[in-house]
Amino acid sequence: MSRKDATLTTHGFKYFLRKLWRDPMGRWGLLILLITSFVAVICPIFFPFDPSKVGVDASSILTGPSQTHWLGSDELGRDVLRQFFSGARISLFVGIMATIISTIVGSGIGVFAGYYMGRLDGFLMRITDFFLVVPALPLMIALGAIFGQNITVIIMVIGFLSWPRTARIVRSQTLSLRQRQFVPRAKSLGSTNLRIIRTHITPHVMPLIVANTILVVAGCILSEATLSFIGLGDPDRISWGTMLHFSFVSGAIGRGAWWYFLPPGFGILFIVLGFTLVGHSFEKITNPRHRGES
Amino acid sequence: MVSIESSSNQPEAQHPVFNRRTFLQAALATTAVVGVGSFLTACGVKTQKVVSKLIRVGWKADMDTFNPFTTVTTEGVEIQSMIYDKLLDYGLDLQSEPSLATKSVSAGNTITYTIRDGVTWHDGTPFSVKDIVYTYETIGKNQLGINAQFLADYVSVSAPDDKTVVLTFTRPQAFDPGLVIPIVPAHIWSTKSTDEISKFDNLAPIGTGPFAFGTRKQGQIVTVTRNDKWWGTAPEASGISWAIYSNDDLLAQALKNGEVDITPNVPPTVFDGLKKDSAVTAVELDSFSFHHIGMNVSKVKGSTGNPLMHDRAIRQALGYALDRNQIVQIAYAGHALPAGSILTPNFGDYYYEPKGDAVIDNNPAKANAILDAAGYSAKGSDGIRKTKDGKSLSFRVICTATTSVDVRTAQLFQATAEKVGIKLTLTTVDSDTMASAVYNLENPDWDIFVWGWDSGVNDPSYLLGVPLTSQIGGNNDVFYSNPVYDDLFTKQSAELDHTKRVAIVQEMQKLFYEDCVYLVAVYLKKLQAYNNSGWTGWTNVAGGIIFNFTRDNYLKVKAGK
Repeated sequence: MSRKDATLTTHGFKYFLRKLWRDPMGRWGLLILLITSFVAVICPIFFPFDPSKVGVDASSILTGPSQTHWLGSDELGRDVLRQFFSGARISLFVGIMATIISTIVGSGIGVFAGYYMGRLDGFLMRITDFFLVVPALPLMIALGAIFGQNITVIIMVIGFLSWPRTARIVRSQTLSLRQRQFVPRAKSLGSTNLRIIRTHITPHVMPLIVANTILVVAGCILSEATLSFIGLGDPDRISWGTMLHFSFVSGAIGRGAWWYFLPPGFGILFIVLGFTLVGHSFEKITNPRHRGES
Repeated sequence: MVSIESSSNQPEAQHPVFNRRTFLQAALATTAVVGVGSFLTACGVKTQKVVSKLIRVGWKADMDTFNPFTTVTTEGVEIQSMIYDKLLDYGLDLQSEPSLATKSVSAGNTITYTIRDGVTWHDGTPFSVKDIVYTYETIGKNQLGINAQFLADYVSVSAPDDKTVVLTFTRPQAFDPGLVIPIVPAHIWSTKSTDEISKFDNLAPIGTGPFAFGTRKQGQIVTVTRNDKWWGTAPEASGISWAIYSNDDLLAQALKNGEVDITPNVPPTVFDGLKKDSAVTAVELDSFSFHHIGMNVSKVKGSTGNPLMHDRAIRQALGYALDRNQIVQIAYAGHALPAGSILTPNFGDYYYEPKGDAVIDNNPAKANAILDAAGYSAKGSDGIRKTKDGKSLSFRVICTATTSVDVRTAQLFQATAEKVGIKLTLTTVDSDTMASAVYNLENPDWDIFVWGWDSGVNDPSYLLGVPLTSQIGGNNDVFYSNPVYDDLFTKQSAELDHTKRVAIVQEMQKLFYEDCVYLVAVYLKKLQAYNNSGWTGWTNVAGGIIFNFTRDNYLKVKAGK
C-alpha cells in the first residue's frame, strides 16, 4: 500500500514542480497563478471591499484613476481596485469549488466505469456521452435562471455540467490499468474490488486527474464569468464577470471608463491563461508519450 | 458625416484577399486597449444614412399586450395610442383637445359627447356611436380592466342619436374619462365574454387611429403604418417603429448614427455624454413619473411573500433607512428629484410634500427606534434583527436587470437597510419575468421590488388610482387594500370644487405615504434625445417629447433634410 502511494507524496509534488519550472510554459503559468492567488488571497485582506461604501454625489461615479481611487470608481462611486481584488477571490473560489465537484463526479464515474467495465461501464458512459453533447452554456443559463442568482447555485450548475471530459479520460486510463498484472495478483491475494480501486488504481490515475483538474479550473472560471456577464451572477458577491456585467449595463464602455472593464477583463484572461499553461505543461510531464519533447 | 467615397480610401479595401496574418492584425487592432469605444464609433461613421419616412424609436423594454383593457406597460399604452383613438386627447400643451368627440359638455352627473362624422375602422367597417357605447358599457358595467377606476361611479351610457353619446354617473365627475379610454370596435369585441376580453391577446389590433398595426416581433420590434383614411391632419411619417435595445451603449450609439431617430429613456450615466454630441439633441424634462420600492402586502392565501411585510413598523423603518438623496445622486447621476408622495411636483397644488417630522427618509436612528419598539431588538451574529420567534428580518428584492437605475437603487437600498439591521437579497430578472412575477395574483412570490409609474393622464386620478382595492388585478402592484383610501378616492373624483379636491387628494397622499407600502424613491427627469438629422419639430413637453400622454409629437414632426 505504502509504495503505491508514493506517487503523491511531497517528494512527488516537488518533482512535478521542478519539472514544471523547467518547462517555459509551466513556468509562466506558475508565475501567473502565483500573482493571481496573491491578488485573490492577500490583497483583499489589506484592501477590503465594502459594497456599501458608495460615492457621495453624482460627481463621484465612474471617475477615472485618482489618488483616492487608484483604479477609478464604478457606477455607484465604489473603488474599482478593491472590487477587483475581492472579485478575484470570488472568481477563483467559484472556479475551484466547481472544479472540485466536477473532479469528484468525473473521476468517480471514470474509475468505476473503467474498472468494472461491462454493463456498468455502458450505463455510465451513456450518461457521460449525454452530458458531453448537451450544449453546456445554454443549459447553465437555463438552470441559473430557474434556481436563481446564488453563488451556491452557480457552483453546482457549473460543477455538475463540467465533469464528462474528466470521466472519459479517467475511464480510458483505468481501462488500461485494469489489464495490468497487478490487478489479478491483488485479487488472488484476497483484495476486494474497492480496495484495489483505492490502493492500486486511483494513485496511478491521480497525475492524470490533477492535470485535467487544472484545465477544468480554467473552464469553470470562464463559465462563471460568462454566466455573471449575462446577468445571472450573484449580485451580492461581485466576481470579475459581475464587474464586467455592471460595467456593460451602466454604460461604462460608451463612456470610455476603461478602468472599470479592462481590469476584470484582463484578470479573467490571465487567470485562465495561467491555469491552461500549467495544465498543459503538467499533462506533458505526466504523459509518457510527450516525454522528451519538452 | 462621412460620405461614402471616403470609405473607399480605407486600407482594408485595397486588400481583397485576407490572409491569416492580416486577419490577426485586424482582430488585434479591434480588441486593443482603446478598441472597444472607438470600434463602436468607427462602425457608426461607416453607416450609410438612409432617409426614411419612418419614425424609428429606440427604447429599453418590450410592450406587454395589444389589449387596451389589460395593458399595464407604458410601452403598450404608447403604441396603442397610435392605433386606437379616444373620445378626447391631450395636445402638446397637455390640455384636452377633440378626438373622436368634437365636443364634450359636462353637466351635473352627465357628460355629453358630440361624435365626429366619417370615421372608419382600419378594416374598413364604418365607425359608429355603438362602438363607444360598447366600450364604455363593457368597462363601466363590469368594472373591467385598467381604466375601470375612471368609471367607478358609472351608471349608464346611451346614444340618443347617431352623433351623441351620453355618460351618466352617480355623481359629478372631476375628471373626464374620455381622455383616457381607447375606443374598441364592437364588431370584433362584442362577441366575447368579460373573461375572454381579459385574456384576449388582440394580436392584430383594429382601431380608428392615425396609424394601423403593422408587425410585432416579440422582444424586438413593433411597427405601425399610416392610416390614410384617418379623420385628422395626416402625419408626415409613413409609419413608426419601436425597437428594443437591451444595452444603453448600443442605444446611444444607434441614436448617434441615426439608426434611431428618438429615444424616450436615455440612461442618466449616458445622458451627459449625449448632451455633448452635436448630432443629437438631448433634453431633460420634468415628468409625471416616479420610481418606487414596492412591498408585497397581498393577503391572498397563495402569497409566498414574507408575511413580515404586513407589519407597518418594518415598512416604515425601511422608509427611514432609505436615503433618497443618495439615490438621486448616485443611481441617477443627479438627473432626478428625491421623492416622497405618489404624485410628482408637476401636478401643482395637488402635490403633497411631507415636511419636518412627517418626512420618512434617511433617518437610521428613527428606523432603529421603530424596530426596537416593535419588538425586533434581538440581533443575530451578522447584525441582522430577529423577530421574537427567531426569524431574521430578511427580504428578497427583485428588479429588472436591464433597468440599470433600478438595479443601482436596489443596491443602495440594500446597503442602507443593512445599517438598521434589515437584510435585503437582490435578484435581477428580465422585464417579462418581472411583470409576471409582480402581477401574479394567486401566488405573488416576492417581497420587495423596484420599478416605476408613468401617469397616463394630466390629472392626479391616474396615479392615485393605482393602489385602489379595485385595481388589484389591474394596476395595483403591491396588492394594497385600504377602505379609507378607497373612500377618499371616490370622494375626490366627485369633487368639482378645486380647493376641496386638493384637500382630499393631499389627505390621500399623506395616508399612503405614511403606510409605506410604496417608498417612492425619485421623481424622474425625462431624459430624452433625438437625432438632429432625422425629424424636425420635436416639441419639448413636460412628461416627455414622446412616452407621454400626448401623442401629438409623433403626428406633427416634419421630415428632415
